Amino acid sequence: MSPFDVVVVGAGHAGIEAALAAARMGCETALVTLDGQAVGRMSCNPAIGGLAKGHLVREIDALGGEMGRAIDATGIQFRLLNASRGPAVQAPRAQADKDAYARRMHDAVSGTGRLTLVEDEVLDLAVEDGGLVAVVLRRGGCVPARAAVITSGTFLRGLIHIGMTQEAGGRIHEPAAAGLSAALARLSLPLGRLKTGTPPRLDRKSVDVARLEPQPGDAEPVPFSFETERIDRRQIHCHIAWTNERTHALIRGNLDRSPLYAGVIRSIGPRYCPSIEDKVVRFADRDRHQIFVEPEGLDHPWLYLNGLSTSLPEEIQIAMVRSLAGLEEAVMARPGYAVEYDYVPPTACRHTLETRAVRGLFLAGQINGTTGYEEAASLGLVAGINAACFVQGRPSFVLSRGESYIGVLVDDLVSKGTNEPYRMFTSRAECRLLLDIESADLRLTPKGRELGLIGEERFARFEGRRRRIAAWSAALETTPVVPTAGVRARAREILGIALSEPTTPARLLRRSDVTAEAIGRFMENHAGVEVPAGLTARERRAVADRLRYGGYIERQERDRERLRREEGRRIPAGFDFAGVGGLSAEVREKLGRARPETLAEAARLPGITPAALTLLNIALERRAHDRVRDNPRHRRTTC
Amino acid sequence: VRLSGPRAVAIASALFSAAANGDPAETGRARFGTFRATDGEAIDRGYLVVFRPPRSFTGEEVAECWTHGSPAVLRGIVEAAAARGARPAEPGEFTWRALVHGRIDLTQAEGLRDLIEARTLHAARVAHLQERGRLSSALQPIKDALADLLARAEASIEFGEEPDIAAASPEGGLGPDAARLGADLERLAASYESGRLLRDGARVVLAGLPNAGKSSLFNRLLGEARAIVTPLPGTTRDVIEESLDLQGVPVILTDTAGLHEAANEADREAVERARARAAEADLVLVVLDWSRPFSDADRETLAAVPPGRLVAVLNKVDRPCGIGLDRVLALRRRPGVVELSARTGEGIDDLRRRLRERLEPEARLLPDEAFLTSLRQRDLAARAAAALRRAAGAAREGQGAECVAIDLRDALDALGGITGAVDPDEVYARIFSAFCIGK
Repeated sequence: MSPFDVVVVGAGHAGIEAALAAARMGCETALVTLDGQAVGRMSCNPAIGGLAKGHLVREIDALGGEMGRAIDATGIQFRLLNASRGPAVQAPRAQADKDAYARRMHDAVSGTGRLTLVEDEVLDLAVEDGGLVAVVLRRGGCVPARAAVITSGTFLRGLIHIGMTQEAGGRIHEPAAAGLSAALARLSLPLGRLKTGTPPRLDRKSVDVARLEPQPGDAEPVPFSFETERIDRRQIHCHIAWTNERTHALIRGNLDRSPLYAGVIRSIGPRYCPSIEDKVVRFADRDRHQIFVEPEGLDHPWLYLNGLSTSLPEEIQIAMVRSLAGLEEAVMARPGYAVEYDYVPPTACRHTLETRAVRGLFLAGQINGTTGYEEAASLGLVAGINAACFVQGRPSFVLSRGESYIGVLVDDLVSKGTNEPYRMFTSRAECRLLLDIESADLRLTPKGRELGLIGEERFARFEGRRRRIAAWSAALETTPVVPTAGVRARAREILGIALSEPTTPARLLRRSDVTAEAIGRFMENHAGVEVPAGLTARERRAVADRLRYGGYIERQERDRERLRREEGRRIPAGFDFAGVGGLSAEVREKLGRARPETLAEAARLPGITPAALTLLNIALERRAHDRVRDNPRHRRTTC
Repeated sequence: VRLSGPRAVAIASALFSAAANGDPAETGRARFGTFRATDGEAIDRGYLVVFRPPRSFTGEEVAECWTHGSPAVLRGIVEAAAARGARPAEPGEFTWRALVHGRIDLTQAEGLRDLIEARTLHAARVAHLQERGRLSSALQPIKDALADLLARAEASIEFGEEPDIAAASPEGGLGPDAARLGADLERLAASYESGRLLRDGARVVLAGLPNAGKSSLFNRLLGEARAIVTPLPGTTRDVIEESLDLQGVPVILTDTAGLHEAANEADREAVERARARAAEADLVLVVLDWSRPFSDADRETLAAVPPGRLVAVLNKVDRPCGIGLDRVLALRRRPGVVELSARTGEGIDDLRRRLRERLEPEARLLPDEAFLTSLRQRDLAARAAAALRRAAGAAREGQGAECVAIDLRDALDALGGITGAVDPDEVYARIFSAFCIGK
């Protein structure tokens, strides 16, 4: 096989974004998968988004990634979560037609230039002088590559548990990848073990959903992608069922046959996706638990039982399902199961997701210790972009914690590590109010453009939106509203408020009883106000929503600056550790070998004393200080 | 007291009223004047000296307040500066800043050793405090309650649509609970003042007429010749302070010039200072001369000290009685008097016992009670309390949980500066143990 710039291993949600990004940035890219029909397969729930996860998808989209457009094209139920709360903590979630979603992703991959889909298994990685040189395939043999992105999901030495029986596999009835773990271990990458689980699927024909409580989607679906104008696909309902005392008794009576409770599985699973066994045992006082009955597609023959993740034996699972009111006749199409798999503790990676141990080797997705399609896709995008930057000799791509959830995700992982599957939460972000879904493009699309992931036309549309938003923001913040008789009358009529003091529209918006629409109408006839041409209702709402937060936004902007400064404590690439005075030869050598990216990382290295850290910090601060002082532009402003 | 940073001169100037005309902030020139607390009350007189970058110790704007070096004055100035926006320096921070700004050569081993030592010393102090466990056991429940509040706010945001959360509506009562915790923290911040006695020592001031033997008594209590003792009245012009361990109760003993009417200008200042000291003392020892007649000045001095803070001492009992037996009997009856001779040491143990009895009730309360030991801790506790007040206000105004959470997080961060940081994962652990969440 001819050489590639970037080889991406695994065609799940991380692999797809990595491969598309690398190819779109101009790299000859291979996407290697065990099964060419399994591109973008949803192993677990047929849904994308949710709080914090929907935020991630917006950011992926803003950077030119695929996930947002794919779910918009194939979503069959959309809900904006927390719609009654503040704008920063709202996010979209959608049920996917999972086969349509996978087809859509397959088409994206095959329709992208410089991207080759390769059906094969990676057996080994060839490394010379600490840098990756080739990927060894079972059928294709040794393929030279300048960079590789491993997105192995649950396939690295995957072990599936159903009751007391185990079977090697990454997903049920799909073989595991065995060789790669050994290769990673040989390259002195640490390996750990995690666990996740999935619920049983039911034969759709066997369930009369009319007997269940319906859960409709939003009447006006909010799309994920900034490029999607509206959702066209037919929308459906999900349904709600409840467990009961009989279900719980069944579970309690069979805990000795649950691999989790019988001590067969020791790996840690995600706390926020507990198995039903966990829920019943840990919350023994609850007399019922909610189960969402979700179709896996418009015409898909299966139903997904969201909330009933389990690894009990098949016959117990059937009995358990049939104990739920409305599911008495259900036929189980596929049992739920738990899966254990290898991951590489993410502190082994840099902020680019390149491994410290091997130049040109990147890891993304569940192999980083995360859970969730959206986390995986975010990491895939970051790894793919950085693999391309690495190949092309461009500066690496690292987002700040203050500007994106993706930045928080990567930084949390590589600087703190994780020992349970990591999931994004909005509260992990220090500057949550600044990271709302409507500002994702304002924050990130210029960067996507710079990378070459945003086309000219899309960027022009973005520029228009950015201009309109900036102009409308400025108008609301600076236009004086003076309570003359006429203005008072209009305020009473349009806003429903009594105006007594001079103010601005932005200040009026801090009142909870003043809507974005009303302010818009109020402003339209206001002296000296020009409503930007083409301003959409959505843009109007986004501007008003941000202004509503008032002083909190300014506080968060200060937090963002602080974060940026802290991140400035990063140790620049090529920093001369030997030039730091006062360090012992031993410490100098250790630092030179490990090349920590941040002071925090340096602190974690064995044998690095507090005194050595202090010296290092001083050297870094002086370096930053000198740079500012030596820059004549800065000199003028500081003195 | 040294201030460093961009607002150093502004803050120092605000504390200072210059005695003469002219710009007090003029660089490199010592200006005489009065340092005042935030309420305008004079703390001490002294000099303000301003240094501009880069020619200052730290390389930043620096203001130095040169005053009399007693702990009380220093504390007063530090507190006044903190009230105007300065922050107590971390141990070794000035050296640190000097290094960062290149004012000290990196290889100057001496400065560096200071810095590193300061840090370990600080660590040792903190460790010692933790070991005693008193403060942390008082703070732990507050920190727990605060982490719970944050967990409730976050649970309502992240998992508001989960039935378990929707049923519990953990956001309810967030405001009042935050206000309650804020009040707890305010009390703790106030404990800095009551903790002072053990931290800095009880302030015991010697007062009395010139040549009543205050300095002799001072030396006798200390067991060394520190104050200059001469037979001339008014020898002790300035304030002299020493610390003294009174069987476990730390005492700052202050010898003053006496509270008499001043004979000249130089005296007047010393006497004023003595009076100021007596006013802020925990106990005032009024020293009377057994060998001389009781004077109006003696009577005034006695009357000037509130009975709760007065210990009367009849000195020079090794000499013939000149004060009169009636007076002695009256003194014995009313304020209670200790009869002693500083020269021979007779009666000194009685005085020690008496001092300890008087100071102990206050000192004894403390070992079981939490108190903040440094201005830095008080600052952090006050900051956490203020953040909680804001959180309560935001909740009252109907701000979203995501806004209230910002203030709660600020409070937790400030508290973390005393007790050690709270990891976000700890907040999630609280959510997941309290609520059944997840699909």
